[in-house]
Amino acid sequence: MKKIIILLFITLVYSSCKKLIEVNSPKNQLTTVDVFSDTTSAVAALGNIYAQLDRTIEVNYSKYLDMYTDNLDYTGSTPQDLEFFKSTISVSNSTDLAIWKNFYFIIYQCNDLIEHLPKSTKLPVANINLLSNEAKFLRAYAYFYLINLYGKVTLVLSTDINLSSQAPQSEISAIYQQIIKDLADAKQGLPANYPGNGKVRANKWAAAALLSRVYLFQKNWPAAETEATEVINSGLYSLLSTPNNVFLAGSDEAILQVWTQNGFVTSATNLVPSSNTSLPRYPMSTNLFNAFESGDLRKNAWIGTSNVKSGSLTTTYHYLSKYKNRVPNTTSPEYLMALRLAETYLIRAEARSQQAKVTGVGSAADDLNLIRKRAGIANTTATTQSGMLTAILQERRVELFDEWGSRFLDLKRTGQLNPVIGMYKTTWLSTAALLPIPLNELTYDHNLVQNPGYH
Amino acid sequence: MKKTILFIVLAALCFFFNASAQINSRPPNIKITGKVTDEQGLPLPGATVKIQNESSISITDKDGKFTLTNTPKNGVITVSFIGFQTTNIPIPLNLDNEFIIQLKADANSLNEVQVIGYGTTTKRLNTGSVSTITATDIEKQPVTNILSALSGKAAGVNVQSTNGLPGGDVSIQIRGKGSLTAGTNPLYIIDGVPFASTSLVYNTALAAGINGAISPLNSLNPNDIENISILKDADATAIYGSRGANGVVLITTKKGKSGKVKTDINLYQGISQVANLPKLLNLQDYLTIRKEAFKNDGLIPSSDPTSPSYAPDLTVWDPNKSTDWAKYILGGTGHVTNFQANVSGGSEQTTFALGTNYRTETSVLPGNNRYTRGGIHMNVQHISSNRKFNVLMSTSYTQDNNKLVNPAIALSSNILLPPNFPIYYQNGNFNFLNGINPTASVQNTSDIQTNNIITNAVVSYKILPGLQIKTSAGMNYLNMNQVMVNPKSAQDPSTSPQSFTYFGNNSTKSFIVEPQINYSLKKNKSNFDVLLGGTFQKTENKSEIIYATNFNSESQLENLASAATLRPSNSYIDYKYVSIFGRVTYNWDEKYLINASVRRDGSSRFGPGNQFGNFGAVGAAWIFSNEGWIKSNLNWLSFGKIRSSYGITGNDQIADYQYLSTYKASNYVYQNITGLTPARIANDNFHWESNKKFEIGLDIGLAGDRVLLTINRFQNRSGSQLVNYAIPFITGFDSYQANLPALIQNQGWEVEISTRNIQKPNFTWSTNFNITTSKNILKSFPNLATSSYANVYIIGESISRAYGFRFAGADPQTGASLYQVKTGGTSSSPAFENFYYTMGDTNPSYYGGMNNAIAYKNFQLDLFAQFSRQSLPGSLIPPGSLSNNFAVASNRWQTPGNSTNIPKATTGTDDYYYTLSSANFFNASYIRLKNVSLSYTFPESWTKYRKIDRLRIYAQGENIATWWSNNTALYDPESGASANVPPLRIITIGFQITL
Repeated sequence: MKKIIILLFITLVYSSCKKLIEVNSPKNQLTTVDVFSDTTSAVAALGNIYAQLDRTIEVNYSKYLDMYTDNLDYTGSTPQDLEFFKSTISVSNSTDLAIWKNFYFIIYQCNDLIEHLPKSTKLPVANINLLSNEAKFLRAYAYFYLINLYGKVTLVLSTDINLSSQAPQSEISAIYQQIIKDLADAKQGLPANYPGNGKVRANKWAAAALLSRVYLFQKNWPAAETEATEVINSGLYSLLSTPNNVFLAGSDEAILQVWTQNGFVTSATNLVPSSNTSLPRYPMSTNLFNAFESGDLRKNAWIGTSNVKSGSLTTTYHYLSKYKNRVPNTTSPEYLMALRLAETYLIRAEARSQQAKVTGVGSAADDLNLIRKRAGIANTTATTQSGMLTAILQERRVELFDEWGSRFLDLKRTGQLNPVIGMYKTTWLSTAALLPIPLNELTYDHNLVQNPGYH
Repeated sequence: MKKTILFIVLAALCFFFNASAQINSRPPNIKITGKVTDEQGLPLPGATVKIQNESSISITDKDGKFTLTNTPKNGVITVSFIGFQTTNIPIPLNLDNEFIIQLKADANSLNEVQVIGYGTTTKRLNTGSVSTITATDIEKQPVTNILSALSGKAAGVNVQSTNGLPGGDVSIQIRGKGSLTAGTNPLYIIDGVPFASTSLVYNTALAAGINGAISPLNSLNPNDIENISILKDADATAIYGSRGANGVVLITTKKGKSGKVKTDINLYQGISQVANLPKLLNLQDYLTIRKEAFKNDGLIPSSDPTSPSYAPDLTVWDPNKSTDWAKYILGGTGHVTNFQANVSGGSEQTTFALGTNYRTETSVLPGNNRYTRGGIHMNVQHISSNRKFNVLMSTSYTQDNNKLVNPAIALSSNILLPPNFPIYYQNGNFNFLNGINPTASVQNTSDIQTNNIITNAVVSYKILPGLQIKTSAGMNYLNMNQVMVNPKSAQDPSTSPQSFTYFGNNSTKSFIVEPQINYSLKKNKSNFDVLLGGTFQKTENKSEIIYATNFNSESQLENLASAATLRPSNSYIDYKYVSIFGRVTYNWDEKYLINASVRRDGSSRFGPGNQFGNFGAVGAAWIFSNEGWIKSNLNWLSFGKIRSSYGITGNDQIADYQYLSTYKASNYVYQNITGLTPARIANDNFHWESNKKFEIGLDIGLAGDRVLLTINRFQNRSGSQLVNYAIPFITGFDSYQANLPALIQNQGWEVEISTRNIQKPNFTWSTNFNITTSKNILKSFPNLATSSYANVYIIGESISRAYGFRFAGADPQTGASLYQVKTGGTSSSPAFENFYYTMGDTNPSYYGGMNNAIAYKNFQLDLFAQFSRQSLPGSLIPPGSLSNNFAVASNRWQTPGNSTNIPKATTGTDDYYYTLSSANFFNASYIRLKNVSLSYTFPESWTKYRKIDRLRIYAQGENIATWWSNNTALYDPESGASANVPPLRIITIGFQITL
């Protein structure tokens, strides 16, 4: 009897070894090593980052920044939207947190790619370099917006939480240095031909176009002009003859677009009302509407109109309609514009103007008039440097509205944010030039310092 | 370690075998034989028969027969058996006739069988801390979820209904919040089969809404349950090792009993209503505050929607047409019908039970809501004629169907709509405010169907007297199917909605096999029990969710084929668990008891190298009332026991695969390739947490056990807790699985008193009272100041402390909110560092319940109340915004000189501090008359004549009355500030007939 018990017991003890708790790996998941062992899955990881630009980033970004300045009105009453509309964002604003965390999630994914791709033994070296450089481009893209919204932010270049979780903020100059380094690597490492179909993954010129913008923001005028010229002279892009089809998939003027699955851009579902008699939630401000010169073709092409009846009274509202599709559309699909040639011309115009090349051959006026001509309006009358700079800023407003918060970024870098928006809104404070660092971040990283004016 | 345990256990076994060889070594003297039976004359096998003051002892065989040798003349025989009164009988002089000893069933709760891990004991002999709830307690409560029936019934067990809807979740915590972020659910074992404890819903989009999470325990019919044991201390829980840290709930279902076949039918019907509606501002007060807000801000209400001063409630909507939205949404009446029929009986060798149940319940919400549940339950038990072989097989199947409307709408946004909000525009279209329209959202529907099968089989064989081998095997299959439809017409047209439908399917399959060997030996005054066993468990969970949109027809929203866009996702989890365990119990003369258990567990939830952990406990008890010197001196003391236990348990209620660095399919497609997204920040270093439990307890019986008192002092200390370690989003995620390098202590007192106040043939009155105090303290946290918890935790304070700005009232001059600041004084815009003031603890400081049972002739009345001393954050917002508010807001600052706690009305959102401050943290203590039950049993004289065994009619009520400070911004003190339907008041009447 004793023997039986001993035998049973021994069986029990020795069978409770590791193989009894070996489990199947989750069938709906792929280990990180496997992801970077196959080009298709590595591209799927990279594609996910591009997709988020439309699905999580821009949809929470452009319209809020346009409300924050003087481009958009708001007809709803959601508190966090109202806070953007009044430019009084609280540290617990959920959209503020969404912008922050979505950019940092993109940065995490870029860092993961940049870390794991070189370790891959199965991917061809060419693919490793290609994907790594695209990840660097995307990381630079994310940091560019982060510093322009929040000022000093944490520069995270690793997925190691021991390095990132309690990191303090870095100087803006150090972050710009990293952005320029990433973009220079990407420009050098990426081919002129677009990876994949269409222009929906970054090539060399996408890196150069973003680099020219970064130099412009740093007031490095010659470098900004050089990069812009390289893009313009690449011969790959041309301005369309009218504003009508600029935002369609594969547009000639697109330097980088974000592919959409059903031919419509996510944020268009918010901006475009369901019918031309419904009240738009985010109507265009009268201020922006009046900023267009008469005869400007962009007014018809990029602005929609809704006539809302209330009793016997009809009120007309305008709304942004650069992107018109709000339901699936396969006949004329729209992709989200990330970088386009018109902006590059305006960057070069500004850089040239700052270098006193105001009129004549190879001048700011040349570039600016290309944009104005396409809009069906007369050449600029500006002839002085300051007059030209004012004209360019005005042109940027009517050309680039609803594109990645350009109004906010432009007013801020040209020092006009407080005078212009302070005049426009009674609730504006000079400290609103920076958005608040979200409460959650301050709670869990005690080394972060809140921006002035926010408690 | 393994070898050491093996050696100790084997050494112990050898010792017992040697001991057993000596049992019959005395020469025979006078030999007597007899039979022990119950009151019906059925034999009682396994009863202990001994001669007083002698060592001679016998255990009755399968026919209840015993033989005693070496008996003295004029001796007294003592017969004892679990569940029966111990009887002393003098040895009859004439032994010619068959000597039959009839035992009376013991009404004394000290001797009631208590189910413990892998065995049974009695409250008298238990060295651990166990609370038991029986079918009699359960059947008095018309609850859907069995957990609700535990509420307030046992010390140390805190049960809160988080949602008043049928199928809603019920939270349970045994002895405080055992874990910060790993699961705090106890381990549920139903007839030996572990049962899923966490909500079944995998995708939060499906779980969202007023229904909250769906509790899997819904699919268990409360009336099928015979008893529930709640294991609390280390001694009781360590046999479950890694899964015992949060306590263990053992559920035993009803089994057939031998004897005449009985049919039992039970039917009740009733109505339900929300017991308390939140107290909100009426239209006039609301409009006054709104106008005042504009005046205070120097603004003029505008009827232009694009204006920041747009105020439709003041400029567009009818200022005289008022709707009480709380009443509109929660003011309905639900109906409940519950039917149960059981047949049971059998021979001495084979018994069976067969039952069926059906329940249907409607809700208080508008629209077509209905919860239905039906099921069958059966079991068969067979014991061989030699009583050596025993096989038990039981199966239950339950299907429930939960149909709900507007599942995705936040309840509080609906209730807090401005009182003059019109449902329709003048043109007949739905009006929406922030996407909310309570009538439109009724078109959003959710239909959840759950199927649950639990099967288990237990086979045992007695190899030798006292030595039994046993194997239990069980299977649980739980499947949930959900369709959630959101038509375009139910959504705000200004947000350009699309109709969309979620199709969800989630199934969990769980298998468990537990071989066991049990050896028990009684020799002289010594009783040994040895248990050895092992567990092999495998659980597989699969779920699929399909998000469908772009339908070609609005009438085809449940048709996958008509959706142009489908976004499927799935998940797969494989969990395995293996362990070996042993327990030795020693009992000397029912005076000194020692119990030791060990368990080694391996779980697939941990990474390689960290999978195995050792757990164990020692418990000891001294029944001092059995000491001769106490018996002779303190005759008022009928029972007295001191016990203590110490042990280590663990917790593996963490998500699977957290050690694996993986990518999963994302919701996004890029260039027709589905994106891959990082699933988590992997950590391959996390390991078992250790939960050290210490307890010392005293059990006292007074006046012939008419008063029973239990006092426990418990202290649980957990180190390296498994947490979702919070990190800032700059890392890419907000948490990762890790061990928290902190020592956290939960300690408290538990007192249980039960008294039989009046005990007369026609009139009895008994009272049960329990109270638990519990305090949580963070003892240590190395390098707290440089961790991501630097702001959140404070050493020496509770780990669940509520923190926020410290409100210092409204400025009497300006009406602005003032908050205390660290630098001294007050400010209306306090710096961020002032956010971490401790406001209180969200854990209750004490809680408990009291039950009074009064029986007069054939009437039985039960009154049960529960109470809790606690504070909770509320839903108060500064007055003046386009949203209704709790009635307390009318007490706002109005003119200079006003001294009040509510700031001035404003349309702005600058004062965001207010909702995060102590102004919004309320005393939520309450006493709730949880249950009243009155029943009448027809006299036997009346029923016998009609061939009825028993006929009982009854009326029952749940949540009859609540006493609390309802001058707060809370919906209900029990369900808290969360926007859920508060617990419902349910009144039912019914009858039970046994044939």
